[in-house]
Amino acid sequence: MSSPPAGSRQPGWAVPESLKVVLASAGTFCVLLLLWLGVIRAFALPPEMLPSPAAVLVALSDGWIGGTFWPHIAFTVQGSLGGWLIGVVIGVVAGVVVAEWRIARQVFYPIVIGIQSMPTVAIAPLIIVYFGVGLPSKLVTVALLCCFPVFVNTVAGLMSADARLLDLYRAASATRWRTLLDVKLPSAADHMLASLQIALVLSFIGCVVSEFIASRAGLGHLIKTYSNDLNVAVMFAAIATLAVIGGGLGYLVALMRRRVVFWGRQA
Amino acid sequence: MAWLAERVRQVAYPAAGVAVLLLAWHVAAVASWVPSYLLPEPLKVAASIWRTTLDGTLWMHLKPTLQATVVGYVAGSLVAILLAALVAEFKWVERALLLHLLALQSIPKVSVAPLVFLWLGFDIGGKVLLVGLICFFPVFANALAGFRAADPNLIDLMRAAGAGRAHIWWHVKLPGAFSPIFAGLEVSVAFALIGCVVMEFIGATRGMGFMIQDASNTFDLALSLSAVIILGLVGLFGNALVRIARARMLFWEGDRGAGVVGSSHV
Repeated sequence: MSSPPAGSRQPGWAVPESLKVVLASAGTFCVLLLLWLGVIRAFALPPEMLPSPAAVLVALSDGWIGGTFWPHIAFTVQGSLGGWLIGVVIGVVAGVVVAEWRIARQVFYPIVIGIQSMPTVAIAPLIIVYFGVGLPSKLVTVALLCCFPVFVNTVAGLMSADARLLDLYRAASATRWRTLLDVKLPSAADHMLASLQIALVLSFIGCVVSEFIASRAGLGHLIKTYSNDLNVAVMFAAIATLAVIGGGLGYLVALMRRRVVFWGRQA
Repeated sequence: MAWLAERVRQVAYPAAGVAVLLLAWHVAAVASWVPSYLLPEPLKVAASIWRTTLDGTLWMHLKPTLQATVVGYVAGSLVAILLAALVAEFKWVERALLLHLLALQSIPKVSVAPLVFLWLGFDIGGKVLLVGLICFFPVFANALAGFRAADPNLIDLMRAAGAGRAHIWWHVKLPGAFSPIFAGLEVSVAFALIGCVVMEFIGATRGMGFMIQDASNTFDLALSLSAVIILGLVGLFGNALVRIARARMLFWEGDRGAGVVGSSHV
């Protein structure tokens, strides 16, 4: 009789970590589902308080396959992404100008840092007064929310450039433009792309809040309208839709960051 | 004296910038490039702040907003730190919860406001829930990163000296995570206010969000702007408080100044 050598574990029996994660997550999912059903049963909740999972699935399929969600998805994506783009362009351009111009930096950088700790979205009702209930008010609200973090990170990134490299470029009498392109922008890239992710999150907040206040379309408008009708199943479906779109776009921006700043730290 | 001049410049330049912006606003309003009911002069806004402070309407609206924001912020942050500790400490908690938390994170939190309103109404409960929810993720993500980055050498040392798990957590992991936790807390201040104001946009009879929306609907833009400005000042003040607390607790790091790279874990 030979006993197996000490310390050798049968590799075939080791459960891979990924499988454990899938199993445990599936377990939690089942528990949550049972809890959901149990709560409805135990408290005899009517569907206008808490719909059944099946009702939410029906609402999702009506929305996506039946197509009732599409115009609203299109509106919200236009408002969020369009405003995001405007805000990012403003933030980057203003950031570069301010970082390159010392006095402007000393004046505006602290102001914008201050604005970042303010709940900017509070101004959304005013923007609706100015620009109406249509798409323009959404674009302006979103752009306003997005431009501040992009601005701050652009300035901070440009200022984080390696001082020795800057000295080297100055010694070689490189032009300001050359230095900006070769040294400053590459060292700012990681900061800037990180701020694009933050801005994307803010863009959906801005668009949805503006749609809550007044709108004729959009997923936020849909959620608000159906809350007046007490149709909670559609609200769940619309929120899930927002999560999928927001999460998907966020993933794309994160992917872009990793591609562009391949040398950068993994943050 | 050089540092004094530098210090003065740090305050004077932004202050001058704000003054110039106010002046530009004033000129634009007085020159009536836009109708005055759309762009009230800064002085009218100041007058409206003064008037509402004196007759108590400002406090009437500010008080419920402050209450809900503070309670929700503290509750959401505490739950976040606790859950992050559990996820970092127990492998099976991480396996069971982390994917779900990541999925929840991609929901724009404000979008559930009408749902919360439907369930909890416009009392403080609904606002606290949304504020807590919106504060949860920045703090959770930062705390988790902090707990995971605990120095393994220090932990080994403590373990060799016979310290238990709880002891190690309290004396090594928690203090080690303070810095990222505070970064999360700083970001959460503005988000907490956003959560509260959005709930008040959805349905309220009092609160700063209600004040802004009500004044906008009646085209009293001076009043609406004053509420926006007061809310902004509250955000600045709250942020300063968190930074002072940070500087006190992490005295060896000093005041880094306001956070630059915000959190994308919202």
